[in-house]
Formats: sequence, structure tokens, C-alpha cells
Amino acid sequence: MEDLDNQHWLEARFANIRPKAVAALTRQFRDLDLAEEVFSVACLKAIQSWPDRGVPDDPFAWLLVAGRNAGLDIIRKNSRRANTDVTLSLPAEKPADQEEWVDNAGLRDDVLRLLFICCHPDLPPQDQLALALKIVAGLRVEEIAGAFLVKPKAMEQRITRAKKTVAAAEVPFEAPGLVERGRRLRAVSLMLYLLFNEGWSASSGETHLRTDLCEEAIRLARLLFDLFPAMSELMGLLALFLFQHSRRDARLDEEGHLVTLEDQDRTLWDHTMIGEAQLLLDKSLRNGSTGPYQIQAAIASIHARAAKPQETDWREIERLYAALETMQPTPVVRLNRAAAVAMVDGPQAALNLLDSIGNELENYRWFHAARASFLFDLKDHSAAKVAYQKTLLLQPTEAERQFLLDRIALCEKYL
Amino acid sequence: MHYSILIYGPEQVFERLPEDEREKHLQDHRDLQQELSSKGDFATVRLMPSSHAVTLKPTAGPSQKPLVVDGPFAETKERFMGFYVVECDTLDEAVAYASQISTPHGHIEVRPVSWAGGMLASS
Repeated sequence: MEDLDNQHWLEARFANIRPKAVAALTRQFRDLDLAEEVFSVACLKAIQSWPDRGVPDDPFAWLLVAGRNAGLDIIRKNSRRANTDVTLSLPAEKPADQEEWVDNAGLRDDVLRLLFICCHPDLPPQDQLALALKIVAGLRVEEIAGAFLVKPKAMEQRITRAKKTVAAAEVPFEAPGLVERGRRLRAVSLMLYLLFNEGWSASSGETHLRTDLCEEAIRLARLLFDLFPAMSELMGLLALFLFQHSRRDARLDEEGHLVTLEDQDRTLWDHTMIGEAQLLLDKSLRNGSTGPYQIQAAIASIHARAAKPQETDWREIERLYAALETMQPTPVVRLNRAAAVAMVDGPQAALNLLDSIGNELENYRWFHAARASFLFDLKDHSAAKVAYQKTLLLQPTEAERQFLLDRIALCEKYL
Repeated sequence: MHYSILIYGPEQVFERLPEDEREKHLQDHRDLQQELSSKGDFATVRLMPSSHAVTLKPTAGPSQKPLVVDGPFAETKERFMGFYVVECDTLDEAVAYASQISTPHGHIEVRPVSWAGGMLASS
């Protein structure tokens, strides 16, 4: 029994070390496949050695050294076969001093680089996410395929193709300067934001909540924040994720139907998580600078702090969306602002705001869903019904589809 | 005498364990807390991740005002995760309590308390 327990702890430990180890091994070997492979070899060695000899004082350094030795072996064997000069392909020998391996300043850039490699601009966003989940988070292909609702075979091919694309990209391996580091942090933060949203709001299919993706996004954000603990926008990003994720148990009812924020049982919200999110948000705002993630986290915090929906400070939310719109003047932000305007100035004011973005969001289901609900509130039930029907055509999830059908039936009752 | 039981370990590993495994470990803590509570006063704290900390660094300036920076005091392999403070007659007793909540991947330090204030009055 004790051994079995240990196995879980070992696996959790490996999973935790993996992003840093694969990042450092990628710098060492400049080869993603090799880095992944030798990390697996190192974990196998650890499984054989640790239970007998005890967990080493520094498991991370132990795995790195084992991984590096395994990599050097593979390179030696391959070059012997190819009859090339070993010394040319071998990385420069490192001193035995392990401290250099666990140098934190270098490591944080390694992890950032590895994530940044996954955000290659030639890759479609979903492939970027799949690649990061495979290489950095260490998810199995079947798990990733399941999360994205595609066949494992197709996912395997996509990941292989994506790896080829990034291998050709040549991201420099020396430590980045301040400006470059900032650029990478922004790109990686955006990728994590997309990953979280992918889990939070499935683009189609029956599983409305794919909490595993949200949890991976939170883990990666925690990892990054741990490496860059002074970055306000990383605090904002993690706070935003935690505020959203705190509502996971309240978002679906027993039949799996979507429950709107207004109707959620707020006692089901995870208040420990909300506390952590609030701390991170407050901490990020002390630093003076504000970015889009902090503002979104601030909006989420207003919802989280309202014990009842009627206590929500919509005027403050509207102000925050207006601030967000100055930083990100996108139709989607305006759509969200319209929802807040509806609460403060009524549905007609919100509809007027939507008119300005109707062309750009013609195929966006949230646009039609919002319009439908404003029209419904204005008691224009025939127009509301048309808008709900439009929403229905734009690949809603199963939970949303149920909600829309209920709403259409309700509109018909009034006609 | 009061003894502190200081828990160190890698962060975000416990969170990755399967649900039943986590529950089992939390139960160990609940059992210990119940036992300590029936015995008298104790305190226990579970800390948020160390990345959430701020650190006050001394400055050499004339005002002597510390500089408040984001992040933990030290980058360490194992992080300080939480603690208990319990009243025990012997060190062995404190070690026995600590072993009730030990895990395969953490370290626990048992250190006698020199003085306690606030919720715990020093005896």
C-alpha cells in the first residue's frame, strides 16, 4: 500500500518538475523531441532508484543530470552509427557542479522560452495550445485529443506538424533582454488566456466545462508567476483564472444545463479560491501599472464579491469595461460593455451600443445571444426569437442549446 | 513547552494527487487537529504559495525604511508551506505528532518555541 501511495506522489512530483526540466534540457540539446524523450528516461530511472535509496535532496537536479546523461548517450550512439565526429555534436561539457543547472535566473528564461516556442505565429492558436499541453504540461496525446474533441490520430498528426514548424523557427537560446522578455511574456500570457477560455467555453460539443484545460492553464500560470513573482499582469492573469474557476461547480445544474451567473448558487463558489484571487489582484494593483488582465480580474472580482446578484456593482463594471476598451478597442470588449450598460442604463442603451459592432460580430454567437436577451427584456419577443434562432445556428454547446431552446419556447408563448 | 511543527515541501505537488489520495492526507491533518484540540490550545496555518509573498528588504538609506518587493525571501527547492504550534511535554511527543502528517515528498522540522504571543500565550 505504501508503495502504491508513493507512486502517486512520484507521478505528481515528476509532472511538477517536468516543465522546468524539459525547458532546461531543450536549451541543452536544442531539440524538443530529444528533451522530452530523455526526461521520460530520467523519470524511469528515478522510479527504479528513489523508492530504495530515498528521494534525493534535490529531485529536480537529479532528474536533470539523469536526463542529460541519457541524452549524451543517445547522441554518442547516433553519431557512431553515422560515423561523424562526436565532439562536434556533443554539447559543451558542463562542470560537475549541479548549482549551475538549478540557477533560477537562467531557468525562468528557459521555461519562458519553451512556452514561447509553442506560441509560434505560423501555428493556428489551437495547435499552439496542443503543443504546449504536450511538451510543457506533459499531457498524453489522447488526453489532448479528448479535450479538443478530435480523434487521437488527428491530434498526433497536428502535434507532429506543429513540432516541425517550431523546430525550423530558431528561437535564440541566449538569455533574452528586457524588451524581448516582456514580448515573450505577453505572447505566452495570451496563449494561457486562450487555453483557459478553451476550457471555460467549449467552442462546440457536449462538454460545456472542460475543467482539465482550465486547470492546466492555472498550473502554467502559477508556474510562470512563481518564476516572475513581480510581474503585475501575471498576477492579474492568475487572479482572473481563479475568479472564473471558483464558479466551476455552480455553472452547470444537475442535468448538465448551463446556469447563468445571475442564477448560480453562490454558496457553491469556491471561496478559498476567490480569496486567493482577490489577494493577487490587490497585490498587482499596488504596483501602480494596470493591464487588460488586471482589469478583467477586477471585473470578475466585483461579481465574486456580490453575495447576491442584486448586489453587483454594475456601474463599476461598466467603468472597468470602458477602461478595458481604451486598451483593447475590440468588438468583443464592446459587447461585454453593452451587457453592463444594459444593467445600468437599460436594454435600449445596450442595443444602441451593439448596433456599432453588428457587422463585425455577425457570426459570433455571444453577440446574437446578448442581442436576443436585450430584445427579450424590451418585450420585442418576435425579434428576440429571431435572434435566439440565429444563436442556435452558430454551434452552441449542448448546454447552451438547451438554454436557447427554452428561451425560444418562452418567446413563442408571448407571441 | 510549545513546539512548532514546520512543514516544507515542493509546491503544487499535493494539488496534482488523485482526489482520494489528497482526501486521505487531509484526513491525517483533520485527525491531528482533533487530537490536539481535545488536548488544549494549538494553532495551525496553511500558507498560500510563496510566490504570493512580499518581502521587506532592509535598506542602507538614512530613513532605514525597508524596501517592499514582490516574491518570497529566498528561492529554495523546498518551500515553507504551513505550520502547527502545539504544547508538548517532550520532544518525542512533538515528533510523534509530526509523523502523523508526514508525506513521501515533504520535510517536517520540529523546532521548540522560545516565546509565543497573540493567540498563544507563552507559559
